[in-house]
Amino acid sequence: MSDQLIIGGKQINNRLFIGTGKFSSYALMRDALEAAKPDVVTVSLRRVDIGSKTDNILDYIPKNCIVMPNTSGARTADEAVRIARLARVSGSSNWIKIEVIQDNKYLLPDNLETLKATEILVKEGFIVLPYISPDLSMARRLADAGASAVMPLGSPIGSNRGVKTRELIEILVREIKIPVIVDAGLGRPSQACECMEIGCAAVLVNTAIAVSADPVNTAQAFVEGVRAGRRVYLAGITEDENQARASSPLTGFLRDNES
Amino acid sequence: MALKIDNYSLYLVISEEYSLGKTALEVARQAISGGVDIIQLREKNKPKDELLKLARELSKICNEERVIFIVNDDPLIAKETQADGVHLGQGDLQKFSLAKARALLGRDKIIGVSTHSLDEFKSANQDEVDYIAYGPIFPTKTKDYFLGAKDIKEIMAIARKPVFFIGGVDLNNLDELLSAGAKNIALIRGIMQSEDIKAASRIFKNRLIQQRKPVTVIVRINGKAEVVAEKINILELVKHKNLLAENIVIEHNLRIVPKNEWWQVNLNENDTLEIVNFMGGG
Repeated sequence: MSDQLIIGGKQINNRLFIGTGKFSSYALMRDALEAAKPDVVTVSLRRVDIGSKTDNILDYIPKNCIVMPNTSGARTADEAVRIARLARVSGSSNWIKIEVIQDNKYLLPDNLETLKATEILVKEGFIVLPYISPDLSMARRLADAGASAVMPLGSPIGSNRGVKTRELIEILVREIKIPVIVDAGLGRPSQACECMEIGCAAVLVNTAIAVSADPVNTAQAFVEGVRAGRRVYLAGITEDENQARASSPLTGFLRDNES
Repeated sequence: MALKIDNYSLYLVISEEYSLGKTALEVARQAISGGVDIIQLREKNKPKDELLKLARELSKICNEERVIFIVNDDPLIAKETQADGVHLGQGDLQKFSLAKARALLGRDKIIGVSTHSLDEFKSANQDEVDYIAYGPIFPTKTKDYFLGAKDIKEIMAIARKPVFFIGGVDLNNLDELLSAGAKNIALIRGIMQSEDIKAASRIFKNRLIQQRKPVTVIVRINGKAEVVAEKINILELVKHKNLLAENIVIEHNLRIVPKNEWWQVNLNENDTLEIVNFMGGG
């Protein structure tokens, strides 16, 4: 069965993207990544802690992964652009997940600044995947601006609440030509599966894997959830009904006299 | 990029009449290899076409060696020969006002002036000039008077631009100048008439550099104020901090500096450095 997802010219086989934050160690993160075999992983860019010796996270990410830096910490388009440029020089890739956030309580993105940053970075040759609140007009503008995908949130980052924005995301999936990748808030494989069932191209999961008691198995469970959701989406999901439709034949019961 | 005059500079005024038979180009080449920072061409008696030719050649040599080339008296010749600037005597200033010279040469070029008394110095010190020459400090055959070292302290206290002390300076009286606080000197015969121009230049230059105290500057590194040696470059800083070059990216005053340029970027007071690397993130 041919089911290709291509972003930025790269073929993505594993539709589970994994974020690398919050793992208790780089070694554990590596184990989880090696088990789940994602094609895309995200990292962040931060000031070096000058006094202390820390390992290079890139040494713990399998070499065949596309490393997509995010612009977390950016509060404006300009800051996101600055981070993106620094990230590209860091030699990861020209992929960038734009994340512009001013709201510290819900970590909800600023869609307008995100659009501005997208416009600039696409022109500079980046493969841009913006993190957004699911909004159809904005998603259209981002697609027009050259974004390679949109990444609407399922629920607030790190909240594990699942795809609370489902109806809005379903609209995006129906209306937007570029891939829709649910980012943030997915706490369980069933929630990731749900996103894939409604036709999302991929999901990005970080917290639920990184802080689980067993990230290696959790990561694999998410892979399976994503795979199951995608498979049934392609197979075609039967429609909901308001009342029961018996699965077994309604004739030939043993209880009555044959008439 | 336009060259800028720093302190602890050695300034040679070339005039073939004092060169004991050497050509101006020979003198310039040897002086540059000995460490001269600035060369001025002062030929009062050459025909204009000869002067232009010589100035062009000197300009080219100096440009290749990153030595500042200054033309005496005439901003038009300075402009035509792509010199780094012009030196104007008090007499020249009657013909060419500073404003006129500046308009002709542009903002990036160097304009220096001669002063021959404390009052002239104070006046020039208020003008838009890039350096001021003050002298003659000691007896010299070219002038029938000399000013002595007595005003050097005051001059150095009020100077807004690099000051070059000139006039009869030699290795015997150099200490008197330096101990009074002089940082830069200009020479004619002190170098031109030495047998080994390169060696003489080197001795003067070394004596100037010895005056220089180690200086530190305050820069912001990742948002934190830090004291570092003045002119330390980024590569040296990275080594000094024991940072692994392959892991990091550096932004200097909002410009990302490629690793192969780290050694070229010196840190100055109030510079801002951001040193970043990748970490975990969603």
